[in-house]
Amino acid sequence: MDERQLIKLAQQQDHDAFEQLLRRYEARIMSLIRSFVKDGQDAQDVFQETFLRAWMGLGRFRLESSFYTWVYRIAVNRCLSWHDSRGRREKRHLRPLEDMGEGEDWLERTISQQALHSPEDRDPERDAKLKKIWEAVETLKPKQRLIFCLRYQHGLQVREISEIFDMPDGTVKILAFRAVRHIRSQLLEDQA
Amino acid sequence: MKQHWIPSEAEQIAWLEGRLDDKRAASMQAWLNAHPEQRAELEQIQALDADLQDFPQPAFADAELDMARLGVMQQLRQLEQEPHGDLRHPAAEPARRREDAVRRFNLQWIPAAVAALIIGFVFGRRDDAPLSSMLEPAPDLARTEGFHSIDGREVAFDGRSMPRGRQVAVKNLAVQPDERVSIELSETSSYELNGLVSDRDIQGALGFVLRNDQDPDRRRQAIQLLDEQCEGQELCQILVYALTQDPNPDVRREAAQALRDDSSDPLVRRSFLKMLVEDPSPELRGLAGEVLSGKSPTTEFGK
Repeated sequence: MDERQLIKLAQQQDHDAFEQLLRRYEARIMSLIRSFVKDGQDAQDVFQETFLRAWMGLGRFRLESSFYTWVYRIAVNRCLSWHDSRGRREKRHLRPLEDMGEGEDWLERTISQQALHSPEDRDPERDAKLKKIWEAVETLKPKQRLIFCLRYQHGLQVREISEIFDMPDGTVKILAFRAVRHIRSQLLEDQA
Repeated sequence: MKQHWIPSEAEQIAWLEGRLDDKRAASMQAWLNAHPEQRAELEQIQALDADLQDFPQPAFADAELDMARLGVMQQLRQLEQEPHGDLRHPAAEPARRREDAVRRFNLQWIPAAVAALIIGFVFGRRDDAPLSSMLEPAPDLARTEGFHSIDGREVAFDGRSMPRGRQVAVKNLAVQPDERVSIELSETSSYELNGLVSDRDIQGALGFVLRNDQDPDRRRQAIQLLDEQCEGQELCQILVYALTQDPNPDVRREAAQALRDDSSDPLVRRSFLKMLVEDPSPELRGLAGEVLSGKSPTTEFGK
């Protein structure tokens, strides 16, 4: 069944159709969220909130629009909301940052898994550089960080990212440029 | 006299992408030749941009995805059985559900606590002093510095700014499914703001809605949006204004709910005292008593 048909059925409250849509995009959305939200439980929450809001907003989704940029937009908003509310929870002593639990290093795990599958392709120097780059990415402001993930990890075009953030193409390019410039200066600082 | 030209970020990006016209490209080349450090920076940025393509994505177990998907479908079914259709419904927000569980309040001891508080005031005051005079007045927020209000400070939006002193009416406030907030203001012509609540201009405009809109439902909606997304002293001040000054009891109740976790803040505490003594609604005076009695839900249920 093609996507438009699935969307139409899901708009009529068909759970199975919605689940099929969810399965089409779950890996990409979870990947974006995991790049932004370290804690596994929080990432689960943000993921679930994303798709629940997609379900609730489906009635107003126009079929001429791109479904996947629409879902990405919801995920981006949920990530930003999580980021803002994390500060409030810390202030209210509900979930102090140091007690966040896993905080697992996904990059370390990803590199290890790649090494298991293709040990002959392992390049320690490249791996070390990737880690340093990611350390720099983690110091970016939230929107810049999300733009970095969408552009370089997910390979989205500038036009798609501008649709997700509802900002002009030029602004997306400038934010991406600043992100790369920041990463460059962090790498130079590490070398010094 | 020759103007000193410095290329903007947009021009630098256009140069990297080869999109400058011949004249601009020549100017850019001349500037880069004259500024070797900036030239090196741009070249390094270009090289890094190429290196970053296909940066790895997080790997995660299939079980993690399965769990997330099952969680979504389970909550969809739960929502069908509890047809609120409200995005703020606990089933729609697992994190908020956990927070609300911690915030649930044991009401059995409230009458005794409120009575004790009032008795304390009665026996503690001077014989000839009215009760309300013992309370410091809540600050006049029109004169509080940093309060986000269009008539208190400029708010820039859509490339134009709204100067001080203009009278503006709120025509519409709407939240889209993708969470963008749309606020329509009208003066001699209409302005529309669009953005996320995390944007400061939107926060300022919501503060304006709270102070100026004639529609109490929209004022309540403004509180709900601000409470979900904002933090800090400025938010406290906005909500304290609503708690003590809003003419509608539903709006004051909304502000009280939003502030109840901040009752340790001196400003908030004074405002709840004022509500306890002066609010015309007995229910809201009771609510203020609950908050002030000191048994916050985090103390009661916190481990």
